[in-house]
Amino acid sequence: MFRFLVCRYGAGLYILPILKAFLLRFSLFFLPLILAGLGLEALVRHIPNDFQVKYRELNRLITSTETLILGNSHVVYGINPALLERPAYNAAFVSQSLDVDAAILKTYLPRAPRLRTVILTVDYTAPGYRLHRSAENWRAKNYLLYTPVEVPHKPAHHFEVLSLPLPISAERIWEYYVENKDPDLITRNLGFAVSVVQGETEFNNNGRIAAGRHTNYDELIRQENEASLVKIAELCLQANVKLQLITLPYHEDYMVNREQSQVALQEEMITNLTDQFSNVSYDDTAARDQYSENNFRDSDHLNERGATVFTTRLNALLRGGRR
Amino acid sequence: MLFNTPEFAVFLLVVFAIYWLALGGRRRAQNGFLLLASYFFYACWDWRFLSLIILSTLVDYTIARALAATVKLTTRRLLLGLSLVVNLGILGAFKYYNFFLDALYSLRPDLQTALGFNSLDVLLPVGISFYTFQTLSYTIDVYRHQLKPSSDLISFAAFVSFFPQLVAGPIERATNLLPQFNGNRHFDRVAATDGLRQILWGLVKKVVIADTCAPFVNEIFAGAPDMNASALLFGIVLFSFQIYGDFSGYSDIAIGTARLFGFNLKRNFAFPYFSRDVAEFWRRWHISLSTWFRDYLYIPIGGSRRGKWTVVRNVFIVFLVSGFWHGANWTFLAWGFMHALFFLPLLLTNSNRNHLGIVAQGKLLPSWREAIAVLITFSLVSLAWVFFRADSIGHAFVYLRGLVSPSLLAIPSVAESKDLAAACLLILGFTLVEWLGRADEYATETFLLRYSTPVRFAAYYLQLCFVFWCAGTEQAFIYFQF
Repeated sequence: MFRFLVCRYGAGLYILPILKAFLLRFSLFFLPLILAGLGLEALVRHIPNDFQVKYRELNRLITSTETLILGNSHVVYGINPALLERPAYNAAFVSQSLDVDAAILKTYLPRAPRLRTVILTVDYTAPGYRLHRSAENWRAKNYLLYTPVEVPHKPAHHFEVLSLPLPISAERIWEYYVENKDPDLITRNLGFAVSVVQGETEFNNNGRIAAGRHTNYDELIRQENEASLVKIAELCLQANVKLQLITLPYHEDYMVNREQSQVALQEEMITNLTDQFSNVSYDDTAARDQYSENNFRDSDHLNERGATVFTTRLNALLRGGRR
Repeated sequence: MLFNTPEFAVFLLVVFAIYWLALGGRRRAQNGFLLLASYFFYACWDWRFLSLIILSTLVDYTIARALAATVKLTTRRLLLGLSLVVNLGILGAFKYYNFFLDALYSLRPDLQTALGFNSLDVLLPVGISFYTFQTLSYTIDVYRHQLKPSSDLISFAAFVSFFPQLVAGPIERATNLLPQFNGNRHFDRVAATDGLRQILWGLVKKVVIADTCAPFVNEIFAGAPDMNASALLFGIVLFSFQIYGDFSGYSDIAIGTARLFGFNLKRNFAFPYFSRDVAEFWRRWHISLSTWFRDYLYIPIGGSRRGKWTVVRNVFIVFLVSGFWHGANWTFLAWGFMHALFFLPLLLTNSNRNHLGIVAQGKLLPSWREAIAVLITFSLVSLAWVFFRADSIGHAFVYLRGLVSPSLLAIPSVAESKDLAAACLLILGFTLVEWLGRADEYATETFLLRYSTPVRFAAYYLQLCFVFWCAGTEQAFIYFQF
């Protein structure tokens, strides 16, 4: 036993001074980089962003919110809560997948005593898109850093500077601190978003590209998203909240370029959920023939005018939908 | 867990700290810990495929011990055959089953209904070609009495799954790496510092060079029919640097990481684009694979000994198998075929060993003759890369046909031509550093040591700045798919 300890710690003590010197030099070498990184991180986090604005408002209004809107960019640009008859909040955001919707609901449901309806879109992207499995996974850092919502993420997403290429962070710092330019925020009142990109929109090519980007059916992701939908429905059921599934209008050019097999899977996901849960209903609220090109920002997003038309029609549906 | 991610940096730091601070001087504990760390590293890709590594490890460990226990030739041959069947069977099932089935059905469509076998929808286990060849070489070496079988399962399992080189090599020989697992290791500050320097240079190659070239290469190859000839030419050159930066960068990080733990891995790249002929290129490119094929395929089937036609046959076999090792696609076979065509004249005229040293040794610049030879070799190798990168043989021919056009002198028709110019500048700078450091194991091994500490540190920080500036959009290593 004694011999074993001598060997064991003898060897350990022998290497320790050399190792200590190495680690010290290594740490000293990296110290300026770590300090620079932390400095950049602090500077980037201080720049106002959509998530800070949106969730500050949501935290303030959640206790009085009766309708919570969830979904992706189609929803955040397409539903203006200020036009709904009951107090509502649009918690949708760009590239937000169904698992993130479920996480938001799980976080805010206990804080929303007056919540009666959750509006959610299960759109064409549902059978193949999940934030943390996509190239957009860097967006997970927004939820981690600026909201109380826990979403699947990589360790790097705990830092702004590690989530995105450094030139992007450097550009944001330069514009905000040196050029004194305010960041382009899309979030407006009650979580509704308006695109900062202005000007003429070219639909023809845009519809093909957008539909192509969204055509990415994946069986594993479909199953995971179905599970997220069930989770959302169960959370709503437990809180006696109605889950209203909706469809947003898209430009014809987007519609015709969709893969029909993926559309069928999307519809199957909706049917499975409405069949399984009594508190879930689905209405095809698109009424595409009632929208003109003036109502679209691009082939798959409504503009402010289009959102006004759509939200006004949504009111009628919700009037009869409260449990 | 990719080498170029913060996750790997944290993993490496934790493993390094435990390995030396808590387990220093305790070889068996260090081996056990390395095994666990390696399995964890692999499980981060897909834990289900760990079972394949464990199976391969157990099979070869047991067979090697059985080989040592018998002198009967028939039994020994049977045991070796069993190892080959199991290892190559797993590799074949995951990597080549669909290819052969599709090839068979395209030749005989009637067999599809008669046989009833369908394509398998399976993922390719990452690194399977690398660790399969590593374990195979161990069993073959024991069969040939060149190596005594390991009696320590933990050491052997750690040798098979050693995380720095598990997923993309270098393909280590048991004769080199296994004794290092069986011997005591002491922390060597100079070796560790050198390892860090090599890791940094590997990151520069991967993140700054390969990942900068990747978007242009993807754009140009995807839109080949619509690209002008100059863009296609740029596409070939950029891919040549992408694959070199990607794979040799990985090897540098692997070798550097191993040095941090007291292991010396084999050199895998020796500035292959400064080769003066294709034979020299193959002594400098993916050395661990080309020597594996030399020792375990080319020489056993006769090598260069049994007449001209046997030599021709053997060269084609080796290059085609080498191409096929990279992937189950006709494009890789075409790539191997082209290299066989380039290599054969050199071998038949006994010119394949004309250039054994480095180009322009001891000089700053090469002679005109050397420069032209290097340029021709680079052009030939780059031409073959078109087949390696293309989605299909047809795609490769469309690409090559597009090169024959007056638009070769036009401005390249890529989306971001300013970024292309920046990428070319980076490549020029990189090539210069590689040229200056070509006498060493890797370009920055001793090159910077001639300068004072502030200059050296400034160069390290500059490399790190480039890495951080170019990092962000994670690109997997190309060779992970093999």
